[in-house]
Amino acid sequence: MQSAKRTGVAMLALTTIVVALLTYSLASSQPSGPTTAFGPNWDRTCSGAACTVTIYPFQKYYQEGGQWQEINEDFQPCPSADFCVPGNLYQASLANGSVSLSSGTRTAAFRLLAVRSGGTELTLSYSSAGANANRVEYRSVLPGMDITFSYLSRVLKEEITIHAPLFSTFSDDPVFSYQLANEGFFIEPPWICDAAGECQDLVPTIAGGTYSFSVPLAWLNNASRVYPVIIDPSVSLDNQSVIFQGYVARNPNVNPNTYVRQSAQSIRVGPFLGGFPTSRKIYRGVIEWNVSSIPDESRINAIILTIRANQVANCPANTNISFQDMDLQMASYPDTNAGNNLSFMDMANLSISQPFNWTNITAIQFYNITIRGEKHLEARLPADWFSTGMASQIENDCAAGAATNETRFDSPAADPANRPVLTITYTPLANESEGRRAIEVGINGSSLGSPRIRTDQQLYVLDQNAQHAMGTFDKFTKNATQRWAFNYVTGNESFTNISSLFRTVNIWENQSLTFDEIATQVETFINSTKV
Amino acid sequence: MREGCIVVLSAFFLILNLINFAYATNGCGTGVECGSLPTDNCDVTQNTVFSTGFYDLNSGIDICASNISLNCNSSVLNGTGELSAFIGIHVKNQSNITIWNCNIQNYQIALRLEGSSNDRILNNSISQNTQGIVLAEGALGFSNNIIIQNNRLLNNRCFPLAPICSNIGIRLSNSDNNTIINNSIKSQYAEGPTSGGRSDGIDVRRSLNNTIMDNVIQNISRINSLTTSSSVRLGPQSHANLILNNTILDIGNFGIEVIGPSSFNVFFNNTIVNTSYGVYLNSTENNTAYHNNFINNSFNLKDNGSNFFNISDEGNYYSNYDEETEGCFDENVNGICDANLGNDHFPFCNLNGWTLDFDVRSLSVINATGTERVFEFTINNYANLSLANVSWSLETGQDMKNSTLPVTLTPYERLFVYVYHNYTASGTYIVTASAQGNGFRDVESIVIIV
Repeated sequence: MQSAKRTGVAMLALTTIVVALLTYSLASSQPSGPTTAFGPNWDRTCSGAACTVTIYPFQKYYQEGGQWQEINEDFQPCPSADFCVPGNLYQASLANGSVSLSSGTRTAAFRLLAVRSGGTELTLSYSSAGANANRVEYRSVLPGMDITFSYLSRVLKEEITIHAPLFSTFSDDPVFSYQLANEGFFIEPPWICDAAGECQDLVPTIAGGTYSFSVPLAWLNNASRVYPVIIDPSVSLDNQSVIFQGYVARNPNVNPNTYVRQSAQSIRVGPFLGGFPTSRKIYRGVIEWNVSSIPDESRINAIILTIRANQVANCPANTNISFQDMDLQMASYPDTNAGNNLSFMDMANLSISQPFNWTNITAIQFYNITIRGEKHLEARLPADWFSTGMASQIENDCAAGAATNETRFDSPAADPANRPVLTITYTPLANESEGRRAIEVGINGSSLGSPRIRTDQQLYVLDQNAQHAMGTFDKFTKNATQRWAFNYVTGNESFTNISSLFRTVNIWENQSLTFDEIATQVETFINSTKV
Repeated sequence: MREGCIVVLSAFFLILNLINFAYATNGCGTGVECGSLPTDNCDVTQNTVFSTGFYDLNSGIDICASNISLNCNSSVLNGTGELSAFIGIHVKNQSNITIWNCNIQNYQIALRLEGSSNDRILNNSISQNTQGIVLAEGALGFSNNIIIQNNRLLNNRCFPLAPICSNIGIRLSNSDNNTIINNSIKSQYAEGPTSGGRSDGIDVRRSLNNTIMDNVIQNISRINSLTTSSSVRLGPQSHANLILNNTILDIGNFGIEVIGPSSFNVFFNNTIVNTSYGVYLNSTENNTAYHNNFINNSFNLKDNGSNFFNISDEGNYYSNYDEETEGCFDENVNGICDANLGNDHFPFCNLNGWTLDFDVRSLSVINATGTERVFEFTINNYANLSLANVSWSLETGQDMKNSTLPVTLTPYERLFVYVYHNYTASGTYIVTASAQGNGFRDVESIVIIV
């Protein structure tokens, strides 16, 4: 349950909020010339029969005045505040640690005022601030504690980073108190995680104009705690369930093993041994993509994952990463130890890509990974999601004895310039109605001329082998003593598997074809069977 | 030319004189009571039962009282078959008369009722007369509310020497609200020798609200193209008559002929076979024909007025417009051709199609190679209900092939069935396709030569 809330925060933070706002149309499914279209998390160019769509695991565009605009998440100096983001879906400004947000008539403002423990109150300082792209960092708000605000398309993510055990001398749980004005935005339940992936939800309270939560001192001072720890009390434009991006950490040192899902700027994959005190974890990651921008009936030609990666392994020359098609979305796995265990296994089950050989990594940079999951993605299109699970092929100590073979991928919550994208080239296939229309085009283009065509015709055939078969065909036509039945299989349909009966009853069935391919095949089939 | 006209007119006036003579000599009060042994020109004034016999009664008999019955007891009342034999039984200005079990033959008019009402004419056999049963206006008014039932009219025809002949089985003239039911009218023909001769099974003129139903009218022909024949003729000025459930076949000209002005007559559930025109509507308006079967007619409908050949979305059946090769396509499987036939906008594609919910049709061989055959037939669900577990069988003449897969027909769905069979011997075979399900069953057969 703790992680469930945390996951919700992460989801928002990663801003993979997808509005299935499809502008797809028949014209775009059969493009005759280069066309470009946009959606909240995708842009697409179609030329000829093929389309290339780039899918972002976050909202990249928004509509303003009926036009799609790219969201600019970068902070910039502004006269009335230290930094601000003036446009987009919501506007943010930061001044001396105070955060002001607005979106239309909705506003919210908050500021961390104090950290207290019993009668002790620590004095905060917001004197040292700096902006980098979509981040503003207030350094040393307390000695050893920084606060970073990240502007994401629908979320303002706040991270309080505690670099060392600051509260070891406290006698009570430290309480973080915010001054809060207006609540026009959604305040995510806060959570805290350490560097080894150990996390805990925090329980906030709101009283008057004060928003506060306490952090368990016992958790902070636990001997196994790995610093730095991060507290995340983010604020979002809305409370939406979005697709998950992140990783699941397995702790192999306890029996039974524990599994915790986590979202972060960096998706961790592989075994890790480190921190202080030393902690051992095995990570597997996942990015879920909203693929609603691709028509359900499409032939996927290529999938390229462009992702920024960093190798922290010291296992020489053998840290391959495999990519898997997840069986279920993360939301389908309960955020419990058992559920996360199952998702952990799913992330390494059934490889769909060539192993990503990390010996090729020479620097922290973007890599284009070919995902050999065309058929998997085609199967996922009706559900509008496609997940790439990520696992290291070596999750134990490598042969050289190194215990850390970890790879870190920048997640959708990373700096805008470092986020991954999925580029898919596909050919729109005829859907059911288009397929039927294409069959008619093929029939009318055949040597039959323009015969009468029946739709949804059920046939029963008892053939020369005494085999009984029956099925319903999209289109059916007759000429003299010959019959032709056509079935273009889509969605949940299935093949009738009726065989042609001499040249008297001629059966054509196929699937996954373009409009033109269907029309051509039908025409050729008739002409080759017509007596 | 002028001499010819004079000859014809002279003959016409001769006929009129003969008719006047007959009327003058055949009337109540001029004869004796018929009793059980009728004599020529006798009168019936009380309930009477004839002794069964053959009676030569050239002047016929008169019914001279109301509220009586005459039971001929299968006796034959015989005229001479000459123009002098005018009326067999004459009812004039009497009512509530029942005449039954009479064999009347060789008269110009076998049975005539004028100015009479509430009569019943039952179980009589009428043959070799020029006109069979005639209802006409009399001194007391129209002949109304008369039931003519279960009579057999056979071989009625014009007498020799009749210059212009109207050969009629049953005629209603100025007669309203009568019922002509379950009669058989067969083997009449219109003859010349000059133009104008007619033969009509039932002729209704200037009459309203009559019901003509369940009659069989067959073989009303004509001797040459100068003459005319019809099974049922209405008009002029015959309105609101109901013609239903009649079987009309082998008619020289018209199955049903309506002469204007005649309106609001309704023809339905009639089967009209082998006519030149199934229904001929001449200068009429607002008559309606629907649910009729037109079979093997040269022309089904001829309408030069404004009449209706369908009610709501149901019309008639036409045997020459019931197959796709004839232009009758039924894509929506409602049993009605998608395109109109003339003024019938909803022609059925099956005999009695308006009664069908389930239909096996179009059984044919669509592939014949050596002894191999591929049969095709369709099973049609014309009903607005889903039929589950429909099964079919095909009797090839050598074996029975049965469906093994459960068939479900959604409302208004058609199943095409293809069955392969390899005959082991040449010969002529009767092939029968049948289908059943949900209480429905239908069968269709063809004969093939292998």
